[in-house]
Amino acid sequence: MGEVLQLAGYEYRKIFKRRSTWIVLALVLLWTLFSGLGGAIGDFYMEGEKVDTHYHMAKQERKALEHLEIQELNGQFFQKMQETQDAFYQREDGFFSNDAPEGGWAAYWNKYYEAYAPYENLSMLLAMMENRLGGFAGEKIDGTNFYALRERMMDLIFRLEELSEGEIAFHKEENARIKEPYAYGNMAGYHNFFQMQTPNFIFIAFAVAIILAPMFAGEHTSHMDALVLSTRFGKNKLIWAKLLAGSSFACFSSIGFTLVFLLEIQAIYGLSGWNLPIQVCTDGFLLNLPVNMLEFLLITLFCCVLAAVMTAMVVMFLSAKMKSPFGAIILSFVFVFAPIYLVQLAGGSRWLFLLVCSLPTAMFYPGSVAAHQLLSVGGHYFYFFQWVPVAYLCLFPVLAFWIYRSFKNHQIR
Amino acid sequence: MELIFDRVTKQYKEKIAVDRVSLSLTQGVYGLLGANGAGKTTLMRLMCGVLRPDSGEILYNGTKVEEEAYRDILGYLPQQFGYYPDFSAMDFLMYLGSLKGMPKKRASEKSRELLELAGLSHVAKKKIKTFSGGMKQRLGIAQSLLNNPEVLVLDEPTAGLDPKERVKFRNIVSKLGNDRIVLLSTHIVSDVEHIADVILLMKDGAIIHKGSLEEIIQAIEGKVWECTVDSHAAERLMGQYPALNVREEKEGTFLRLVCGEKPAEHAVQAAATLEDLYLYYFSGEGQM
Repeated sequence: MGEVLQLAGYEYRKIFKRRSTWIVLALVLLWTLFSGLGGAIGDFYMEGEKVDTHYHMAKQERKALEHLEIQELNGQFFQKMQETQDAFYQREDGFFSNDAPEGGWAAYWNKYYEAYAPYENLSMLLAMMENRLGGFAGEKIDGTNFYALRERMMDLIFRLEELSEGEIAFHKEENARIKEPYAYGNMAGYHNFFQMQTPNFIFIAFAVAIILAPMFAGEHTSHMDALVLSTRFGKNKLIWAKLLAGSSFACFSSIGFTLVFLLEIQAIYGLSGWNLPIQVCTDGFLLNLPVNMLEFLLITLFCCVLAAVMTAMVVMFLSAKMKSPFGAIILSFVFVFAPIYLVQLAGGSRWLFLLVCSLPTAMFYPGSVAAHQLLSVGGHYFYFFQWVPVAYLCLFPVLAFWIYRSFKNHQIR
Repeated sequence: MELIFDRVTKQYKEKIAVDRVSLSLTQGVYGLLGANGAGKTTLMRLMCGVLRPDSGEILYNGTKVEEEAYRDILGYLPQQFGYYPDFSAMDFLMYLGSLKGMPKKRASEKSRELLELAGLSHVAKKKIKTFSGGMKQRLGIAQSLLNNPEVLVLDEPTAGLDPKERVKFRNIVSKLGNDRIVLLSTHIVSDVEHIADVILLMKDGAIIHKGSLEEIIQAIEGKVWECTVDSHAAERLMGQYPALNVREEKEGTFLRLVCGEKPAEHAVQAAATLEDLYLYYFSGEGQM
C-alpha cells in the first residue's frame, strides 16, 4: 500500500506540474467565487432609479429572517404577511404607480423591503403553488389551507409524473412525517447553495475531465508508456496509484470548492436555518423528504462528490482506452453534457428516466437526488440518493478493473 | 542467467516484424544490427514485455517476461525515450526508482550516483525540458541502470551523443556486460564493433547471423576489394557488385566492393570490417 501511495503522490505531482491544471482550477475557483458572490453583486433599480444594492437586500433579508417574531408557517405568520402587503398595496400613491412617491423611489423601496423581506421567500413558494394549481387567489391562503393546498398540489404532480400507487402511498407517508406547521427562519443560504450547486459541480466535472484526461493517455503522448510499462510496478501498482490519485483528486477538489462556496454563502446569506424543513425553500418545496436543510445539504453533497468521482472514473476509463487526452476530453464533455438534454427526452420511459437520472451529471441536481420516481425492490422504495450511490459503489470496481486491464495490456507500437 | 526466445513471432497487419526468432542470450553484451524496419525495436519491445508476441515465448531463467519478477531485473531505454518535461532530472529518476520498487533512500543514492556518471549532476534540479538531446539521452541511460538490472535493453542508446560521450558510454556498457545480459541496437556500427561480445544481424524480422565480430565477418572475409578505376568502369562495377565505399579521386573513382573474384586488374584485397558486412547486407534497405 505504501508503494501505491508513493506512486499516487507522483501522479499528483504530474497533475500539478501541468499549467493547464492551474488554469482550469483558477477558472473553477473564479466561477465558485462568482456563484457565491454573484447574487450580491449589482444594484436594484425602480423606474430607472437605483434604489438599493443586491448585497444590502441580501443582508436585510438575512437579518429579517434571523430575527423573525413568528418562527413557523402558521396562521399568525400568514396573517402578518397579509397585513404587511396590504399596508403597501392600499397606499394612495400605490406601489405599482409609475409616479415617483414622496421622498423618491429609494426611500420608498427601503421602507417597503424592510417590511417585506421576511416574506419574500414565502411569496415565491405561494407563486409556485399558484403556478401548479392555477387560478387560486394567493391572498386567501392562511396557515391551515396552505398545507391542504400543498397536498393538493402534490397529488397533481404525482398524477402528472405517472407515479404508481405504491410510490404515491410512500410519498404521502413521507409527507406525514414532516412536522407541521413548518418551522421557518433563514433558509436563504441553503436556497442559494442548492440553486448554484448544479452549475458549480458541472464546472467541477469539466475541470476533472480536462485535468484527468492525460492520466493514462498522457503516458502515450509523452512516449513514457514503454518505459513505464517495463518497470516493476508499471503494470500493477502504478495503475492503482493512478486510479487512487484520479478519484481522490475529484473527491478533494469537489469538497474544496464546495467549502469555499459554503464560506461565501455563510458570509452573505448565513446558514443558521440548518434545522428548517427543506420544504420551506423553493428547491425542496416539491419534495416529500422529511429532512432538514443541513441533512439535505449533506445528502446532495454526498451524491455530488460521488458523481464527481464517477465522472473521474469514466474520464480515466476513456483515457486508458484512447491514445490521446484530447479525445478523452471531448468524449468526457459529451458524457457530462448529455444527461442535461437526455433527461428531457427520457420522460416517456420510466426505466430510461431512472437510467438518465442516475448518470453523474443528473446527480448534481438537488431535485434529481430526491426525485419522486423511486426504485422499487421487493416492496421497498428507494430514492435516487439511496440506490445510485450503491450502484456507483458497485460500478467503481468494474470500471477500475477495465481500466486496469486496458492499461496493463496496452501495446507499444 | 539465460534469456530464451522460443520461436517468437510478431506480425503487424501485412508485415511480419519478428519472424520465428529463437535465441539464447547469456551474460555479455549483444549488439543488434539491422536496417530500419528490420524488426530490432519490435524484438526489444517483446523482450521488455511491452508488446505481446503473436506466438512463441520469451523466458528469463524460466520466468515469463510478462511477469513482475522479470520487470524487477530489467532496465530498458526505449528508442523514443519519453520524459515528463516539467520534472527535474532528480525527480524523474526518483519517480522511476519508485516504479522500479526501490526504497526511497536507495533510489536517492543511486540517482545521485547515476547523475554523476551521466555528467548531469550540475543540472539535477533543472527541468528536463531545458536539456539538450544528448543530455536527455544520458538521462535515459541513467534511468535504465537505476535498479542495477540483470537484463539491460538499450534501443539506439548512442543516438544524440557526441563522440566523447559515446566513448564514455561504450566503456560503461563494456563493464556492465561482465555480470548481466546487455542487448543494444544501434545504427552506429563502430559502437557495436567496440563493445559487443556477440553481434546479432537482423533482417526482415529474422536473425540472419549471430556470433563474435571475427565469426560474423567471416561471411565476407576475402571478398572485400579496393580499386581505383575510370568513371565508366566504376559505373559497371557498381552495377555488378555491392559498393561499400565510392570516392572521387584525381586518378579516377576509388571503389570498395564485395565480390567473390578480383573485380579489376589493379584491385587489392582489403580486410573486412563489420561496416562492410552491414553495408553488404543492408545497402538496399531502410534509409541506407
